[in-house]
Amino acid sequence: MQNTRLEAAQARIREGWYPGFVWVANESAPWAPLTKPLSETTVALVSTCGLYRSDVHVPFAAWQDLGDPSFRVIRDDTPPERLRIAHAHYDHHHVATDHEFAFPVIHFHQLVKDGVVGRGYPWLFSFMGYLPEPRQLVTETAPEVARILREDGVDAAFLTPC
Amino acid sequence: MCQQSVGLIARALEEQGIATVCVVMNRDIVENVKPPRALFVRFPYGAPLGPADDGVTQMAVIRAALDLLVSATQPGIIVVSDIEWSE
Repeated sequence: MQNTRLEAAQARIREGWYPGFVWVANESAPWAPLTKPLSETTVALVSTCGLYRSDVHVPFAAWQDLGDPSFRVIRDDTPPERLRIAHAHYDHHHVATDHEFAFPVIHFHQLVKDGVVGRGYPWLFSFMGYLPEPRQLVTETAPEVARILREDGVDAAFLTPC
Repeated sequence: MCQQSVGLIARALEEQGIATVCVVMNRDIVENVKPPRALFVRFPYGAPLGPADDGVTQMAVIRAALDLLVSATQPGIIVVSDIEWSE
């Protein structure tokens, strides 16, 4: 059930960006508990902040009314100066200053070094979170990322929006 | 809307056996979309882990989210973080 704040936000999005916008409402959540200690777990980082590599990727279609459900895969040792943001719907100040916001690679390397986390998965999965019609995300691109991670032995994922 | 998208991605990963935790800045949206585990932080959009270049706050948020990843026993759980914006 939506509250009045969500209803107001929905009305603004319909008026400003996409007339067919409806918040997704789910009755329950799926569940896959961790089956091993965190210190033996491989963790992947996933973000919807719209980061991409300026030297190898096509930017996300950030200004398209329906958004862009595709994803970009970024190696975790990519020099920060090669990263750009294509996302028209949030203030880039923090992420542009410090990419650790979207993908906290340095912090996770420290956690691995300290024995808190078993292994950091070396590939970062980047989405652009402005998706007023998320069907393709739900049925195609997010399940594709899940398959890649599962086949590569990833146990858990840490996700950040912007 | 990023908050909804991240929740939908978390659900897709979890459906294929990958345990997930999301750090989120809008509780209303996340209550609706129901990712498996979410840490709600009272931070502005664009700054899910706290102020830029504040490694201490960022690490505290990450550790709190990982604690939730390990300790949660109920799908759809949202934990409210007490970590404050330090600027």
